[in-house]
Amino acid sequence: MAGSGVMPTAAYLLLGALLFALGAYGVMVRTNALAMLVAVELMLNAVNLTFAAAARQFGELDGQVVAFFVIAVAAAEVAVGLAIIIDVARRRGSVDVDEATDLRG
Amino acid sequence: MTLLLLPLLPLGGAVLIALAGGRLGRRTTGAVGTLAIALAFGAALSMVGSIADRPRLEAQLGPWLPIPGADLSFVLEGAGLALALMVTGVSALIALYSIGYLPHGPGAQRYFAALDLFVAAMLLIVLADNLVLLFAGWELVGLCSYLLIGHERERPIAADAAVKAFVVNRIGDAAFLIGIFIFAATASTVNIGELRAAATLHLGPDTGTAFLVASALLLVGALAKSAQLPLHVWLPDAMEGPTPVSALIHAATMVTAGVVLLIRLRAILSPEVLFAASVIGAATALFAALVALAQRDLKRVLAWSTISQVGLMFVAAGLGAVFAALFHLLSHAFFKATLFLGAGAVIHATGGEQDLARLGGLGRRLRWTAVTFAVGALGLAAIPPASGFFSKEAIAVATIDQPLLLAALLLTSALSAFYAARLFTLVFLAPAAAAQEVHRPPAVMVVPLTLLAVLALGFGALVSAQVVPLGLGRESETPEWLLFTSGALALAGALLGWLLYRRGLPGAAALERVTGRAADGFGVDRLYGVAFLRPFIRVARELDRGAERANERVVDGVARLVVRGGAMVRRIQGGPVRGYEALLLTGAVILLAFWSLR
Repeated sequence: MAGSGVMPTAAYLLLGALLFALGAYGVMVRTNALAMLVAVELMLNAVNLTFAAAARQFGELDGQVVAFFVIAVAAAEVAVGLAIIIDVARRRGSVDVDEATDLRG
Repeated sequence: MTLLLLPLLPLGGAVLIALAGGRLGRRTTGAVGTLAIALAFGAALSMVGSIADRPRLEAQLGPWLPIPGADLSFVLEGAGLALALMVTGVSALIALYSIGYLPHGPGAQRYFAALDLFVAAMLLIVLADNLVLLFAGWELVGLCSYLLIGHERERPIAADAAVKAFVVNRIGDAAFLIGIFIFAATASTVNIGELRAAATLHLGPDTGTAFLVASALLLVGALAKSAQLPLHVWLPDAMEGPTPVSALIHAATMVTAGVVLLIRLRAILSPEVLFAASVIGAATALFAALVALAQRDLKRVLAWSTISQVGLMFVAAGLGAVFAALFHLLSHAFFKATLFLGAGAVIHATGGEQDLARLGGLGRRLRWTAVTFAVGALGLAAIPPASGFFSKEAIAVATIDQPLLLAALLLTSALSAFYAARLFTLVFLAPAAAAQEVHRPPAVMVVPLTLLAVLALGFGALVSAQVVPLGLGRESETPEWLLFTSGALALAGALLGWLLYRRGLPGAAALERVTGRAADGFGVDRLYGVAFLRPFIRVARELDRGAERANERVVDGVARLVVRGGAMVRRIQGGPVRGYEALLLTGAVILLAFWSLR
């Protein structure tokens, strides 16, 4: 395949896995809710990349359709997530998730 | 059609009061309750002419249960009209009296609704054309007696008396119901007319035995309802109800239901069972008369006297002398209602006093009450010209072939006269133990009392002279020697009672010590307590304790398990948000590994 000017699918998958791991790591180590939200976005887009690559590999549109779904859902998720974060920030003056423990039994 | 109105009018009154009584006020409620019964009396009165043309009237409301014969239909025959007239007439007077007697308390709605239902139920017993409908009335009578005896429900004694009446009656009801089942199974009908035909056919020994057993069971029901030995224990306690209720239960409804049953089913019940009824009746009459001698409570004397007098009715009904039984039932209704309403007037006048040791000397201060009470007492004592004399004669002549029964009857008569005189003397003639404030009864109480006293005085002579027919033929005339003997016995008993008690209870202390031994009804209540109540309570308590233990083990055990499990599980849920993500990821990795390595 080398020299054909087309990236092999494996490269996309590798990049997707890398981005996903990076996002997962970010969610786990960061305590700032905004940073965690960014990390979640990273994970979602890693999955999108994987879907798009698979769609190209098999010549079918299914993967692209799912990727569009994920983008739409992610937009909604950001809207809800940001609203929650703003509310938490107003109430507590901080967006540190480790401090938000009111409901802990 | 008028026949249908008889039970339906009081029933309608009961429903109306139950639905609207709270808005009507005490007097209006009483007026509605009285009017409903009085209208039923009018309906019964209007049928006097039609029953003369046709001896049997029928009316049907519709089908009821899928049992052959169990329809909502009524029949008026034989003693029916006389009984219906008495039930509605006496009840209407008692209802009128109650308006004056129950001035305090908010219970007028409850009271008059139950009263009307009581009358409707009793009319069902008198008029039902089949055993199932009759049983419905039988049960309703029990229910209403429960409601009315326990009318003052905030008093524990009254509530206990109501429960006792209900439970004792339940024993009889159970037997009655099984008896109906046997009749229905062997004759495949519960219609009284058809059963009568089946009983006269004598369908072989098997059917004979079945009828014998069923008859005995029905007799048990009658014994419980009519407070005969050994199921009499509820009636003296039932005195805890308001006095007009006692009058109703003793005179017009309830207690006489057993006699009505025997009269109506005479041709169906086995002769052996009927004879047993008269033996039990005689024993009860004598027993209760002895107990009545010793009572220190105004109403309890009357209660035991009712048990005794109903025993006499059982004697007559059992011997097939239905005319005598009916005659005594009616005249007893009049004089016992008079006595109870008079007792109510005394209790009302003295502000609730019913202890014979403290009552006395009321003859001058409650003159009219004393006169009416005297008429009632004459009836109870069977002294001419009161109606009790004539009806007791009719019973005496029925027992003339049974020397033992006759002896019991005569002895009971003498004792009745004695305690009737004792009661009257102690309340009205003997000197009072303490001065008492007395207020006169209002007119709504005096009018019914007077009317009943007139009936108690004149009814017997009118029937005896055949001016008033009862719907049944008289069995036979009384021979003169018997008339003389029982009249003399009654007079002697009454005179003796007056002589011994004219100075009050302290003047007869020696006699009271002897008779006092019977005061607790010869300990029958105590015997039942030891034989039935205490073992039952012990078993119940054991079961209760067992249930407690099972409860601890099973229910509490499950609860403890859940609590412990929850404590364990909640540890993994209390972590930080990032902890959840780590768990999520770990789970995802494990699943992926599982799928890819498979």
